[in-house]
Amino acid sequence: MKKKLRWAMLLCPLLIGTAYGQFDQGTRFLGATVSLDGKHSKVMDYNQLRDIKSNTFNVTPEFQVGKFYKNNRMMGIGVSLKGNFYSSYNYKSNSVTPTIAPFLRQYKFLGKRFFLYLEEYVPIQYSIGKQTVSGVKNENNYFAIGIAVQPGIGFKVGKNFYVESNINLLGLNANYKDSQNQNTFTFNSAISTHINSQFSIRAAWYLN
Amino acid sequence: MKKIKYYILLAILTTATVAHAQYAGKKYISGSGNISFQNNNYDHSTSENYSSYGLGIQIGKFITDTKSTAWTFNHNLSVRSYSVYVNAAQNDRITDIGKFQFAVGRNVNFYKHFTDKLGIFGGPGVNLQYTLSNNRMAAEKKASHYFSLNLGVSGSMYYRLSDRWWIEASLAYANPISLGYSSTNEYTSGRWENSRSLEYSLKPQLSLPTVGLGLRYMLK
Repeated sequence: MKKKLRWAMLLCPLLIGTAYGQFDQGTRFLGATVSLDGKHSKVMDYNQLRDIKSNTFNVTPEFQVGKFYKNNRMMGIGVSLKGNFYSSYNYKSNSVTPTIAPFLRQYKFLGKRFFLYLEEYVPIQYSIGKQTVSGVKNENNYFAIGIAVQPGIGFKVGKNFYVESNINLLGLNANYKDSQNQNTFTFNSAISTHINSQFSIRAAWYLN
Repeated sequence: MKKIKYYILLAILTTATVAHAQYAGKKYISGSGNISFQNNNYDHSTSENYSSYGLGIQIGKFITDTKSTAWTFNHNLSVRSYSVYVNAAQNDRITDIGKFQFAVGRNVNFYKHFTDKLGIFGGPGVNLQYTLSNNRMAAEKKASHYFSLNLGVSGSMYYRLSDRWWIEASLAYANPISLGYSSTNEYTSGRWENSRSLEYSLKPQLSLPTVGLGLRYMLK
């Protein structure tokens, strides 16, 4: 008996290091990220004494909400808005693309703080684009729907706070696009052992 | 006797992850660098020479065993000598600075010492950078001055070779917030043009760089 106890004591520190985390049924999820950049230039032409200004601004906020309907299995919806604005001397181009994407996620913990997930989602988007070239206006709107599978990783930072990122080791993507002039259907599948070198990071809260 | 074996093993397992050297109050200098020379010789035209070097120095101090602050200095320079085609009868021989870069910054690092020898560290930093770059193509000249202020985070790994010397390897970095201003003078189609631009970006993206190695020397 004493011998068994001593072996159990030996195993304790090993077990602590390999405890697995889990998200319980009923846990709520909130995710958010934003990316923006801009460039404002002024070109001064010495000969013709004329300023040419050009402005670029891109912004993409993204929000996700979800709820675990089983342990480690989540259902949710993501909303994002992509805005691209460009203007120059005689050219102007603005586009706004809202996307709604319902999704399902399966989680797999690789320790207490680190997890993997696989996300299946259906992005539905409508893009509104306007271009003006030398005073002539042109509209370019389209509707697109797709289905995609994407894995991701996450890491626990605070009590309920995590950082997450999608990775492109494996991806499956089918997309249908309906615009004024042409309809396109694209299908992509990729398996790779090469991890992308840039990860877009999302802040995530898992609330019990 | 047999019992003692269990307790020794237990003691090793439970203490192996917590025994560390004392760093609080120690100062250090760490550096990394590169240098390169290239010479091209052609049969029917003049030779080209390119040379460049880069230097990065950090002077830091451990505030506690797991936290340090440092000043960072980075400098890059490339010079070159080559011929530019102007027209069928004329080639210009040019010797100039391709790129001159200087950056100064301040950062904070937090450490996780896995064992006595190995660990990771990372943290936020801010730096101010100036870059001068020259471009020359046929009859076009371009010189630009670029100032930028960057707020970033970085992650690295270390291995202690001895009490004084550490090897550092950079693992990941991100520049989520940056602000830049550039002024470019360009000679094109027979006239000079000046353009100025303001750039900013907020991108929560993490990049995995090609691993860069550096050395750290601990001062008393």
